[in-house]
Parts: sequence; structure tokens; C-alpha cells
Amino acid sequence: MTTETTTTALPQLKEIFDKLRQGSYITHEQGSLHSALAENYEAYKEYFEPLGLNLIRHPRDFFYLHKEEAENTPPSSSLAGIAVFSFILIEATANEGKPVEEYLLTERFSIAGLPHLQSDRYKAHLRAVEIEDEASLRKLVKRMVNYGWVEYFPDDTFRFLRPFHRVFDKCQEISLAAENETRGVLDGAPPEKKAIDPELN
Amino acid sequence: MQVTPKRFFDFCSGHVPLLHAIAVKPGDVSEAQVRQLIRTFSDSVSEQPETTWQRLIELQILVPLEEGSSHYVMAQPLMQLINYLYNDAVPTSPEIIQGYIAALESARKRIVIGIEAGDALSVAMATNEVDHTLRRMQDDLDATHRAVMAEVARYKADRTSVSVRERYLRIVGLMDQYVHPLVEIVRVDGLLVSVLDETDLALRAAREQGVYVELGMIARNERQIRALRRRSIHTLNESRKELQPLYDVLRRASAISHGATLALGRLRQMKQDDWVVNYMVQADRAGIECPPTDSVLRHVINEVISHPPTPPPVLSMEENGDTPPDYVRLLWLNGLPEALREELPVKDLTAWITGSFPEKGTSDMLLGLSKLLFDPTMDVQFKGGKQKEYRTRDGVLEATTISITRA
Repeated sequence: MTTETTTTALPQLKEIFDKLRQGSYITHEQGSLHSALAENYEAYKEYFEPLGLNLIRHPRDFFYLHKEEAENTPPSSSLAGIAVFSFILIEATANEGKPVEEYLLTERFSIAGLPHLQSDRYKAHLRAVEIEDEASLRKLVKRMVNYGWVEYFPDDTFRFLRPFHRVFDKCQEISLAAENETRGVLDGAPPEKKAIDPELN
Repeated sequence: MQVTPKRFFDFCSGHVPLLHAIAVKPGDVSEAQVRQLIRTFSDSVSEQPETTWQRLIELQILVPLEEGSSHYVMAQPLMQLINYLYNDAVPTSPEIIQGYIAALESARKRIVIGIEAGDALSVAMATNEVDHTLRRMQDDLDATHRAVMAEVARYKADRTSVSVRERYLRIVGLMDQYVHPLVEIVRVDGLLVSVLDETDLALRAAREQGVYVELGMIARNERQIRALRRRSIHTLNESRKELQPLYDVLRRASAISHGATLALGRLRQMKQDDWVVNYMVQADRAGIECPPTDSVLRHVINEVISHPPTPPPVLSMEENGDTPPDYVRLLWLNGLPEALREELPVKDLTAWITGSFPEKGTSDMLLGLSKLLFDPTMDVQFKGGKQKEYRTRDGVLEATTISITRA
């Protein structure tokens, strides 16, 4: 009874569903689709749930569908290369003292100017995932377009899109897990999250 | 040699860049280093470098690290003055503030003992110490705030020269080693405020009991305590407000770069598929062909398969000795007119029914009365008058008398 009412009231349901089912993200750049989702997130989530589709709203305000099966299926072969490419860029940015998220999500990068092929260590990491030269880097960046993480431009430049925040989140998760592991080894006690009291007195 | 203030300040005013350069050098400086600084920062035309060196020593601007040493440090009072003038400050550690608190507590105890003993001199000395301690504590808390502001300004002005990790450590160091522990000390229910309260009480006692006659000093201490209580919390709160956003941003930035480095470092230690599963977002573009998804279908089918069938209701085909209570009631109601008819006329119908069937409950009694009152073969009269009470098995009926005869 409730579902029927909700379904008829959900705006642009077909367009949203078509976009999400292809595995795409819906970000601010999708305009009305994004605003419809943002305004009725709970209703859409409730609607998709019985179909086995988990609609996620990322804290950076974009939406995507999460399938439980995805966790049990082997990862796509291109993910390893994309991961190495992303981690190198993050590390190089941090080493240069730049604010990682702000810089990577606001700058436009040229393939030729990337740090990936400028250090032996990075080159060794890339070789492990069979990336040897600029052409393979370009191919990789174009593959990232399919993931919805990058926009590629005809002048051989690209920029990262908002859903790339998922990679940042993963890095943070890896760091936290490692910290917890170290603490556990050091003091044998469960890790404690150090929070700052938001209010003084 | 006696240092006259005028000579001292005249020299300082003519050599500000030199003094600042010496002040910002960490640790001690050798004579050679000082002479080099003199050549860099002083005007050798108006004053010979040797003369400048001599003045630095004579005016005790530089003092040897130890007797006969060729390493020098800037005199502490001048260092403080320069820090003050350049708005440079080093944060105060919680341990130092705790030391001040201990000093205050000790002075307070001496005031209390002095009051009890009527010893004006020890009260005066302890009060004086309270005054100095309060001033130094406030200065140090202010210095911490200035250090925080300077670090925040440095961070905002120059965001590219040092790595995220280093900036993170600097900001987090300030927050975790200075501001946060200090907040714990100066908060309303913290150590500082309780010591200030107690000191305040001791000073008030000294004033009221007239042990210590210099009321100006006591009043000044009381004012300082009030100010410190208010300002210390405010100052540290402001410091924390400045640091908190940077702390949050840098904490995340640091974790992101740390995570990326960690993941890269483990790339060749694991099978590639395992590495991707552990260290990468599982973002596969394989779309959803036809919802409901396989998992939902599997779930539904499993539920159908494993659903326990509900057994059909079983009708009891065998008669047992128990008669249903509703049936018993019906038989009783139907038999009532006949039972009454044998005893007509009855002057008090309610008394008759409650007396004849004491085992019946109130609801049965009311049903029985209704049955009889509306029986067309009988004539009913409500007598009015005073209400009477009629006991049933489970209650009491209140009614006026009803008489009944044949119709």
C-alpha cells in the first residue's frame, strides 16, 4: 500500500533507475536527477531495497547502487592498474605538500605531466600491473572514465570527478586498519578512537 | 659593569635586525656565529663589528653559556621582550601549568597557616607569590595561544613547502601535546579552577580576619584570579577553535596519503587479486541486468523452499462430556420463565432471581432479568422507593423493587 503511493510520487524514477543500473554515479552534474534523489533519498532507497539494490548516498553527496554480489565476484582486471595509478598520484601529491583531496579534485592533469613515470619506485609499481609507458597510462585513465571517476578531455588532459572520493575513503580505511593493527600489537588492548571534545566546558 | 637602561635601549634600538637574528637562532651561538651575524646585519660604517661585539657582551645582551665558554645565549629577559615584540611565542606545556598550580596550592597553604598563626609576614610573602604565579600563568597561556595562532597562520600562508605528514604532525602536536591537555587543566571542573577557588577563599579570609593589612595586594590577587579563571578558558577555547578545522582536514589528508603508501608497499607482497580485494574500492561497472537481483530471487526461493507449511485445522469428531458454557447459559435462560411461573406472583423479582441462583454472576443475572421483564406472558411493575442491594456471585446489583405477576 505504502510502496504504491511512494512509487507514483517518486520523480524521474525511470531515468534515475536507468542511470544507476548501468553502474553509474549520480552527482551534481546530473542536475535534476541528483536533486530528485537528494530530496527523496529515503523514498528511493526504500523503493530499491526489495529489488536487492542498495542505494548509497555518499557523504560527498553523490549516489550509487551497491550490489551485494559485487563483493563475492572476482575484481575486474583493470582495477589493479587503476588502484596503483591512484595511490601513486595520492602519494606524490602528499609528498609535494599539497592538500590531497582539494588538489586532486580541482586540478586538471595532463598525461605527460603525471609523476608516475618520473621515479623508479613508481615505475616499478606500475610494471607490476603491466603499465610501462605513457600510452598505457592514457589507456588506464580512459578506463577510469568508465568507472565514473574521471573526465577525459580531447587535449589529453583529465580531471577527477566527485566519486573518486571513494578511493580516498579506502585509503583512510587502510590507514586506520593499519593503525589499529599496530596499536593492538603494541599494547594488546582494543584500539581507542581519540576524539576531541567538541565543547569546552 | 652596571647596565644603564638608556644605554641598553639605545643600543637595542640601533641593532634590531641583529638582535632578532640572534634571538631566532635555536640553542646557543658561538662567538664566530655572532661575529658573522654582526657583519650581515650591522652597519659597519657607523660602528666597527668589534665594537658591536663588545657592546653585546658589556650590556649583557649575550651571556656565556657557562663561565669561560665561547658559546653564548641571549639574556632571557631580552629574549622574552623580543618574542613579545615580534609576537613570537612558544607554547606552554601542561607540566609547566601544573607546576604553577602546585605553587599556588603551596602558597595558599602558607596563607591559611599564616592566618591561623596570626603571622602577617608569611601571609604577605605567600600573597606576593600568588601574585607572581598568576601573572606568569596568564602570560604562558597567552603565549600558547599566540604560538597556536602563529602556526595556523604559517599553515595558511604556506601550504606547499612541507609535506602533509609534517604539517599534520605540527598541528596535531600542538593540539595533542598542548591545547588539549591544557583544556583539561583549566576547564570549569578542572584542577586550576578548584585551586583558584581555594586560593580566593584563603585571600578573603586573610582580608576579613585582618591578619594582613595590605588590602590592595589581596584585592589585586582576587581580581587576577577572576580574570585568569575567565581568560584561561577563553584563550584555550579560542586556540582550539583555530586548530580544530586544520586538525580534522590534516588528519584525513595524512590518513589518505598513509593509506596509499601502505597499499603500494604491499603490492608485491600479495597475489594481485587479493591485493585488489583488500586495498581497492570494489567498484565494478557491471550493471544490473534485470532486477530483482539474483540475491533477492535466491532469497525468495529459499524462503518458499524452507517455509514451514501450516497444518490445516483439525476438527474434533469425537464428543466429550463437557457441555459448552454458552449452551448451558442458553438453557438456563430459556428455562427461567417456567421456573418463575410456578412461584407467581413474586413481589421482588430481583430478590427471587438472586436468591434462586446464587451461583450465577452479575452478567448472567442481568440477562435473566431482561429475559423475564420482556416476557409477554408476565406483567411487571416497578415499585420505586428506596434502592436495595442484591448480592450476586461476583458483585452487587442495586435496584428498586420489581414485582411480577401473570399477564
